[in-house]
Amino acid sequence: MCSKSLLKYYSLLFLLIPTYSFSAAEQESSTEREPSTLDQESSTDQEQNYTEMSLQQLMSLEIFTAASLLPTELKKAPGTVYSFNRQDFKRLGVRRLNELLGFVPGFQLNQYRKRHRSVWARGMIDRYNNKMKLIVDGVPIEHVYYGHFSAGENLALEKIGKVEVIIGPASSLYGANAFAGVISVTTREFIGQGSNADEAVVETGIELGNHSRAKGTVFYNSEKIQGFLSYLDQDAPFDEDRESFIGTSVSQPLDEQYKNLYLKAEPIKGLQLSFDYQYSETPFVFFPENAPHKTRDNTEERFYNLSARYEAGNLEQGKIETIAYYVDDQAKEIYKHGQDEVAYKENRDSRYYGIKATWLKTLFVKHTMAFGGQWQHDEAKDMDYVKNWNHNTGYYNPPVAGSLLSGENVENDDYAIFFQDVWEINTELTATLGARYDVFDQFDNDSNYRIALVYTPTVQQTIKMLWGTAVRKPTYREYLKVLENTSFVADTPKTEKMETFELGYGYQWENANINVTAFYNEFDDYLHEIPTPDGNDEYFVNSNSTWRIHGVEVLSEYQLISDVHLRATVGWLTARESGNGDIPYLAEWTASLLSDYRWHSSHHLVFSLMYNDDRRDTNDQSFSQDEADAFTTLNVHAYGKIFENISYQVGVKNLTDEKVFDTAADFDDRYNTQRTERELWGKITYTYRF
Amino acid sequence: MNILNRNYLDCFNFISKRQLATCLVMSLFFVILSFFLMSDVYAFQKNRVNEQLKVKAAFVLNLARFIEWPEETTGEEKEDVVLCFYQYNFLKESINSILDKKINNKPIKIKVIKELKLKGRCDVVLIPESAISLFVNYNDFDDLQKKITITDLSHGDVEYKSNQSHEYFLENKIIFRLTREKSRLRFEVNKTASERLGVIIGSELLKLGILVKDQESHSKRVYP
Repeated sequence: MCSKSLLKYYSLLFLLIPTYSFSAAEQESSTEREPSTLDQESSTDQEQNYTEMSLQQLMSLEIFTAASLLPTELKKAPGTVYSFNRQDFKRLGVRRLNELLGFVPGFQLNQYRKRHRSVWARGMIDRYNNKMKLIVDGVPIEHVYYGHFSAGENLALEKIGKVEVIIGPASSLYGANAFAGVISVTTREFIGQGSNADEAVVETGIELGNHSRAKGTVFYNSEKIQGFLSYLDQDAPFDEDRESFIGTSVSQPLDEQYKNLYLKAEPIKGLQLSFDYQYSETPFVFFPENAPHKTRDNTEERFYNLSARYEAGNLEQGKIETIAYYVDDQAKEIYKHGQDEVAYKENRDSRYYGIKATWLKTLFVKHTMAFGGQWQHDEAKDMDYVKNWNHNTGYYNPPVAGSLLSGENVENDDYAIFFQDVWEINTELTATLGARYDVFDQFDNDSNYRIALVYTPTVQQTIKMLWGTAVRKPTYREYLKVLENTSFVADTPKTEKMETFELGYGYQWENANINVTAFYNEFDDYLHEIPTPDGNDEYFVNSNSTWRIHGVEVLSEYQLISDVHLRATVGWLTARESGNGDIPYLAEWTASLLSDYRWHSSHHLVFSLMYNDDRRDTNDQSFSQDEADAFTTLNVHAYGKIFENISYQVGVKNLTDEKVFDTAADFDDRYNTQRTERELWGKITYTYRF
Repeated sequence: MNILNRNYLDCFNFISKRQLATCLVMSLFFVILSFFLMSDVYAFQKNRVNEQLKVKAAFVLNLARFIEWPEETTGEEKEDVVLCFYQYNFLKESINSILDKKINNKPIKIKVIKELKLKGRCDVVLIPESAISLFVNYNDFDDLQKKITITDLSHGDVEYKSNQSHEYFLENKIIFRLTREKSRLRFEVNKTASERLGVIIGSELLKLGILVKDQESHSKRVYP
């Protein structure tokens, strides 16, 4: 209780601080503006001689921070957009994308019983990450069967330059399934493109931590070629006998490893080719600790992504942007017993490929138009399973074989056309109008719209209004899942739809800013998983009634003094299903608070707190063991440079080793799941410049 | 105060040691923050200001170095390259960091001028943002000939400034303006102004700078 109330108090205190700052800044306004700080990531030390630097090197220095942390473009972007660059990764002490998403106001992370964490944006719950869309360099990333993306160790942050999170319905811009929003990841730029220096570099990193964590990375960057290699071996950071959805302690092997090879090249100006190979081996299943036979399990996945992007022209004369991609995803869930005998094996092999072309042009001076089309083909290649043995019943004789999906040669071809106009009505007011028409292979066609107004009456203030719609088509698992151990036959679900209204206000002080967004979402046919009537399996169903979620999100950043930077987020929401009361499993309040203190010119010390309110199962009052209590975790980390070419990061995640549980979130009677425990880690990065 | 007292009382009523430790660490953390708020760290802040201004001074030096200077500036009779600050020196003492450098093998000299009579006095004119409106009213283009004009708009919102001051920039009196893109310093080049003032800009600057015609498209962001 104390940690909860304290956090609320500190958040309140923090949000009031900028007001004080503004008054103080006004009193000093007769002189030139107060400066921001010089960023140590880009600069070397205070005594360096800038006059010896080339213009390109000077341009790569990050000399403005604090008050401009919400970049200008984002401030004026239609809708709610949060952006994080490599410096933010360090500042926030994150090593995985899902950790980063914990700092986005309104996001809730929920540990699923398998390895991944689900990301719930604005209360859109699901056990898998399929209400949002992950895009890496323009390529949609998903596991076709679940429609799910992993945002953990598989996506190494070392190769990523920027992450933009667009919250709210983005179907008119990014297509179906950009429902709760879009996470747009951009890999690092080539040397000489904007922020980088003018020399080729090799960056090597070694990270060690508890849970037997060992990670090595090598990143090469030049003007035309980029390469990245990483290897991670660790125990999944769980308690060995953690409590899980089955209600007791579990026996679970924790070994896991991840490999990544990434290549990017720009053979001619405007054409970018990339190849990404990811391999992972992770634990996935739980057995009761007292199971009669011990087993070993893992999910093994090979993921290949090949893409080509081409851009030419400019907005005045017309600009074309195209991307073509091919993704092959081979996943296997296997558990073994005895002498490596396969007890169960499940394949989830799929592939998808597509092309998207956008033509942009400034017309009539004040309109920037975008027209485009998109096609994507996806198919399930192999979704078969075989059962030889079960830890309760022993051997199957004969083995049981089948498919995860009810159809054969399952494939989809979806098409879309879209249009957008950014209309600068005057210097203060910009309107964005967007529309998109999707033709789905298996579902009804759909249109989506988006209208946004961005008003900047003064340099300090931004007011945004947005109305939009979004659609999400069911994933393969949602409409083709083969139910087991039941005679129940589920109806085929429909697409789910939402409509949103959003109002945002941003104010920029000299050393602080605050952004407040209020939203109201209405969902029809919300797709969620519920147990079959006999309780033997789970299936997917559209909600009969309208779901309504509204809430407020606040992000504030404040440069307390030149070397202390504070960042706070608060999210509040309430979610109701008309006629049926509150929607379960959601935290009403979430918050984070971070303080980055530069105690020496090249060294930072950072504290962060993450708060999550309790999550109740309002769906079933008779079963409360899938409810999770509120928690606050404290993280501490430090980062900086030891020498010109050697930087370091050390940290402790969940310093007090708070025992955190997350809900089963399955609308059933499964127990909640214990989250990762305390993590200690350290990383050294060496940069060699040619 | 009631809220504060209640929360601290909550802390001492804790049963869980972990939660108590959380509260203590949080409290310590904010005590440390408060200490730094009150302590004399503003001197260090001032150094950080200078660092930022030094980068800008180095930018100015680079801009001046990549200009193809007219003969009257490079000729033997010319002893130095004169940087004139119109109204006041907005780079403050950071300008000292470039005074031992040379432009076109000539030493650099600094002047602060209150009036715009530039001929024979200035080679580079640095105009602070607050003096732009005064500068705009100066219409003696003969006097501005062969002068490099630079202004600094990098303090605030680059897009807003671009829109607000677009007119004067297009009036072709200012060749370079320092702007910001997110956390980095950038510069915009008005090629028409350079032609009108008879200044030839080196290819390096044209490659790295944002040409004024491209500037508008640069500042827009669309999400197709």
